[in-house]
Amino acid sequence: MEAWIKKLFLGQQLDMEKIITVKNLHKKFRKLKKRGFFKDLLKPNFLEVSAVLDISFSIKYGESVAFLGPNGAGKTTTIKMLSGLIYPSSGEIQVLGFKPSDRKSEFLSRIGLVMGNKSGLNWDLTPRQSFRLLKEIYNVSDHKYNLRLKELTELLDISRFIDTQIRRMSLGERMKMELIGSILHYPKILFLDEPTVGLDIISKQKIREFLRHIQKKDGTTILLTSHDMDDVEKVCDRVIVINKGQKVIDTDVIKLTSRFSEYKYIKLTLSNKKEFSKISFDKVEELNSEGMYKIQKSKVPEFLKYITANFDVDDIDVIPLPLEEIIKEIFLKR
Amino acid sequence: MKKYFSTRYNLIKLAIVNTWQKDTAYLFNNWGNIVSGTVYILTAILANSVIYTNTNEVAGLTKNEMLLFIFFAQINFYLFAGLVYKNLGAISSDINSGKLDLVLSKPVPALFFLSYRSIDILTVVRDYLFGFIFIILSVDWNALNIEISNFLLSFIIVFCGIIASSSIFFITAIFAFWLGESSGITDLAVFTDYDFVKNIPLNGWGNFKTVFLTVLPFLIGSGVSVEVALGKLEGVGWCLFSIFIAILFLFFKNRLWKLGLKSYSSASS
Repeated sequence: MEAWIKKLFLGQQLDMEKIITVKNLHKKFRKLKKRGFFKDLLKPNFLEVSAVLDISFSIKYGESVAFLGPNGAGKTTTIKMLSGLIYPSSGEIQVLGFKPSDRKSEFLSRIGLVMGNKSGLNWDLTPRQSFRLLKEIYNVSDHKYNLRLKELTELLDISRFIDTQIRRMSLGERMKMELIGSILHYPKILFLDEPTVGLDIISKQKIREFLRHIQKKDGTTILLTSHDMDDVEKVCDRVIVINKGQKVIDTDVIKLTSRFSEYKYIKLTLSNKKEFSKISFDKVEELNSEGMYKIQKSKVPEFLKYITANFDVDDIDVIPLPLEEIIKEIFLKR
Repeated sequence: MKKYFSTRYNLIKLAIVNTWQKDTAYLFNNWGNIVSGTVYILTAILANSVIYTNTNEVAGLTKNEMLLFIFFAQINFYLFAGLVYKNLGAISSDINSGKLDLVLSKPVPALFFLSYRSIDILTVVRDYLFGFIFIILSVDWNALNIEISNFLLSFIIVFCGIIASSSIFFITAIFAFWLGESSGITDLAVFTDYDFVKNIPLNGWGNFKTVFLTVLPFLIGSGVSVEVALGKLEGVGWCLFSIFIAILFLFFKNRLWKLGLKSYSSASS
């Protein structure tokens, strides 16, 4: 009984522990200031550009966190420092109790990395052949490997492609295989850099569902960068917004949508389509008998009262502003 | 220590299997190389006969000894083609394109993995077997009076020469960390070694001998090994020297790699 209680409480304590701690992280890159071929050759002049500027945060076991920001904000650079690919210029990083840039095998065998625009699987081999190599690299037992491979290929619905050469697959199928390759070894943390870039909507949905599934089932901590806000809304619980190398916002996805959204979308369906012209609010779009209105949050009750009192309404739907627009609003304000 | 060697042994095994799978995926590719590989050897044998029509010795080697030198130079080339060539070509572009990320994020000794991820046994055997048979048949082995111990030592020297040469090539490839692209410099090093230095016997180098034995030790693999096999150089001493040079250049390669990683910026996404 005592052992059971200890295990229970120790387990809870571990769950509360931080898997990633980042303090005052900086990363500077040196760039050649172009002044002409001969000048650059004889006396090159370098500029220091800060990609990440004093970022601090921590992430708990099992969290799913998105890094958001415009191009060049420092999201990918941060992920690369967390996964040990590049050295920080200054600051402290602890991931799973390791300093990532030491690249210890104990650390690397507990992380997975997927990069949307880089393929880790061999173009000329079949996924099974590539996975076999990964199995050996990560030292996964035959039994675990077979179970895992079956589970993951079935979840992503790509069992039938397991013996097809990678180069013969579509982008979506390849990306699903990349995902499988990155989590065959049950990593504690999965780093995803734009995993759905260029994919069709069905593949994107499948991948999002899959990521949520492994986060819940395996307790995998997920760190994701994406420009697709649906990825963030469907996969992550927390958002860290980065701009010009600095952390701008660090909050829950739900809080972000409620706190930072000053507007709501209201979808109206009227019995008589012609009556839309009588509504004294600007429409965002109109489709058949439906009209979409962007209304300030504080004015939503007033708007609803006005509509129900004056028009014959078939349906009203209040929709929160999509994350993409919220982020746009935040950046416009700053 | 046991883990150090077992990890590397496993990676070599996996590289052989994976390269075999890749080569057999395109089984009908590159059969033309058999013709070019064989014609190259036949041309070298013919050129050797022509050169020795009016002279008995070139760079201290008789006609038969020169054929043995060609035999050693070819072994060097086959090992380079099978073990080094493809891996070398990939390393600079991987650094440049950021594909290195996908190796660095795995629990493998990255430099070792990159150096031996492709081991082309099938290609080498397929492309060069006929030529190799021709060169073996063209040497009058009985006339050479080679001692077995010297012959064995000369093969150790060949391996050390390959390690030293490939370390230099990889060092040039590692410059991509700072330069962004370094394949031109690597090509120059490979050309200097395999198309130039390794095709001229040790005594043909005069004052440059010291440079090509120490600073750029390209002469070890062919020039020194053949002289040791023939008993013209003292075997054990040169073998120890070759081992020292191989370890030294491996050390340089590893140090530069570690320095390079600190400067690795990884191509952005």
